[in-house]
Amino acid sequence: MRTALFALLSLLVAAMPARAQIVVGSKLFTESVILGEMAQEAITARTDEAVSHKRELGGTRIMWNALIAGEIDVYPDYTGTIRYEILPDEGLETDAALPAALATRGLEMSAPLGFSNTYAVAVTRETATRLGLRTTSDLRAHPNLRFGVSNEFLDRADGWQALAAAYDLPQTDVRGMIHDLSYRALASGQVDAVDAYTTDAQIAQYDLVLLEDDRNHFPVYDAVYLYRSDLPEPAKAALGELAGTLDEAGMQDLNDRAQSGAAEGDLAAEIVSLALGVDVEASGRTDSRAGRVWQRTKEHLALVGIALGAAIVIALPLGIAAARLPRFGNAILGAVGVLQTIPSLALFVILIPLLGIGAVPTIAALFLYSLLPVVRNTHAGLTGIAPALLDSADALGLSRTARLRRIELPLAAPTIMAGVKTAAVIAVGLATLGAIIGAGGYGQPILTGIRLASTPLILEGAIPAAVLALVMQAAFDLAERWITPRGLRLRQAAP
Amino acid sequence: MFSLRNISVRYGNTLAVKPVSLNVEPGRTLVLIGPSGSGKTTLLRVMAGLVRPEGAVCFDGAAVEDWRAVRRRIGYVVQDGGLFPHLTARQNITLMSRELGRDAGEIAARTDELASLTHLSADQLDRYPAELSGGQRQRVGIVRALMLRPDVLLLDEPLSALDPIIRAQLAQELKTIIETLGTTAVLVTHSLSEARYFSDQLVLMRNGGVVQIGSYAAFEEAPEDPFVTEFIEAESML
Ligand SMILES: Nc1ncnc2c1ncn2[C@@H]1O[C@H](COP(=O)(O)OP(=O)(O)OP(=O)(O)O)[C@@H](O)[C@H]1O
Ligand SMILES: [Mg+2]
Repeated sequence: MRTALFALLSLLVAAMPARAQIVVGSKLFTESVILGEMAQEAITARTDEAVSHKRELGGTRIMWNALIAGEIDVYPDYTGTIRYEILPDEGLETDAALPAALATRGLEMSAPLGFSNTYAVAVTRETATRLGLRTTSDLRAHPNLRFGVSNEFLDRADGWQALAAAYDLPQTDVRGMIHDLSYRALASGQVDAVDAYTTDAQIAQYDLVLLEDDRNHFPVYDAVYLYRSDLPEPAKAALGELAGTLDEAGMQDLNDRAQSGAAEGDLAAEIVSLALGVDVEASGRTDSRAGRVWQRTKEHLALVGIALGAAIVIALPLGIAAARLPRFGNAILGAVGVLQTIPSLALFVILIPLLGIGAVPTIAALFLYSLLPVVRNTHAGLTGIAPALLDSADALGLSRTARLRRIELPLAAPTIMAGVKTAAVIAVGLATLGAIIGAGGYGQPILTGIRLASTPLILEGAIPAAVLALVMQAAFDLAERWITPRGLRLRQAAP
Repeated sequence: MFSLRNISVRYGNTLAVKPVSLNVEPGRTLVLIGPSGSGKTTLLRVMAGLVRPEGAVCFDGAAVEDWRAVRRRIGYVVQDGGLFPHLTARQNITLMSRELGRDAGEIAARTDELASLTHLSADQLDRYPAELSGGQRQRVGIVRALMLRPDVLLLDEPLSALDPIIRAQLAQELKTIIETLGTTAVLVTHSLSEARYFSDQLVLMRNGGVVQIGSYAAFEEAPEDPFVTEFIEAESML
């Protein structure tokens, strides 16, 4: 049993991809993914390094922390974002002050790629016509308009708060949502105005009107690559070659085509081939759907399997100790209970500075969440045993260990197993969130699907995740039957 | 065999057993009787080393220091048999012998010997407790307690959950066993007729204290307390 578990764990670890030498990261939106692909292809074309691309990692904070920690070496960002969101306390007046501020952190940035992707408030053409909206100032006359803004925009220093202050905006119905979903909310009439990036493909797709920034509130958001100073020189030079090769119209076109189904890798290859003057191969994979799902399944199982295995190894002794020592037991149950109340996204973000990004922090988070059900059920199973049975065991002369092994654990086994089942089903669901910090698994196609507004892609992640949860449930039901001693099943069946 | 010197047991603020001194003679049967909650089970658990009392418990003349050594010389049958539901009757019976690494042939021989003494069939031995009747479960509990040839057998209400016919049958068997093996026995009961049937020595308890110690005849002829008469009359009323 123990050897089997160990073999399974090592297999799962082996299934996880090895780390490449240079790691490019990208944020959770299409443009960032395309720029990430471009960086990967350019560096691959100009150097002998192994380059990988961790796509759709999450928001700015996650990327920045990952870059500082050396989890990734390069990622695309925008000068305004760096000045206002990442380094708000430095009071950087212009983009020219950026390189010095970055240098103190061991970072550098490339020359601008050419386009600027700034913010604007977007409304439907129908709303613009009906209310006569042309500039951002015009919004003041309509306090009841409902805003749906991206979560990042809601939080950041140069985001909603600053915008509302700069224009004295009176609207109070402001909801945060994932950027790509806000367009859908706008199109379906659930909100009246959204924050838009000026290069977003959806502006053309949904025929939206961008309100003029008549008070010049939004800073310049020139696209650049941020990278670590220790990136090899040829790689830096390769990124430099991409400078000035992509203007706003070009970027909007790429976004539009990606949204319509073109592979980001192919789109990136077009630009990089032109910029570098060599024929660049798209590095994106061209797996079949079944191949992709199988790959995701392996990743997902690795996340859940390792976390659950470790949780059982730790939680079982903790549960036993909690049952043996009531005072210690209360402390333990309290502690694992508190862990459970930490919101999952918050836990992922808390773990990044400690464990970086990818599978490790995800496994750690799943591990922590799995502790409670197993500890609690082990405790409940052991303390629920009839005192008369324990008396009998003691009177027979069984030692403490023999009593635990022969009597208590077999009697508590069904309850413990139920706890493991709960933990497993919860972990399968939570593991999809790990994709946000680059852990792969079924969350990856779901994220990509939301980003590309592609229902088939969302289902490619959601259906296997649901199926896996059901399979887990069924497998554990079987295991529960198998682990429940026959004598106990009889008693349950008896009236 | 046992002698209890000034034993008392306290649960929180309540005294479950008030200071008691009594002797259990080797080869004789002592019966503890008394109303519900009077401390019979608690006193029996003291003798089994399952409760640590104030005062001294002596076994074979010496105060018990290490219960682990004494336990194997004591067989204890809890109030409802206390069989482990996940083990078959046979596994219940042989559990401790197997833990001690006794020879398998020896274990089987001892099991057969005791099973025939208690009229348990091989088929019944291979059933789980849930598949046995109350009387059969009680028999298995007794066999399990006797497996390691204890010097003392402690029985907590072994006959209380049985119908009258089975009860009479098992009472006879039990008496035969105790006499055949020559065991010292302490038996807890509510019932005066059981007390009369089994006891060499009878102890009546009330509210954790001992009311009278003596032979059954002495209880009827020379009650030391009005409660003794009250207890005897209450039983004969129904
Ligand atoms: N573990 C315990 N904790 C606290 N109080 C207890 C405990 N066990 C027994 N008592 C109390 O001690 C007293 C004596 O209980 P005991 O079980 O010895 O009575 P009994 O004579 O065996 O009763 P019955 O005939 O109903 O079995 C009761 O008042 C009971 O509530
Ligand atoms: Mg009792």
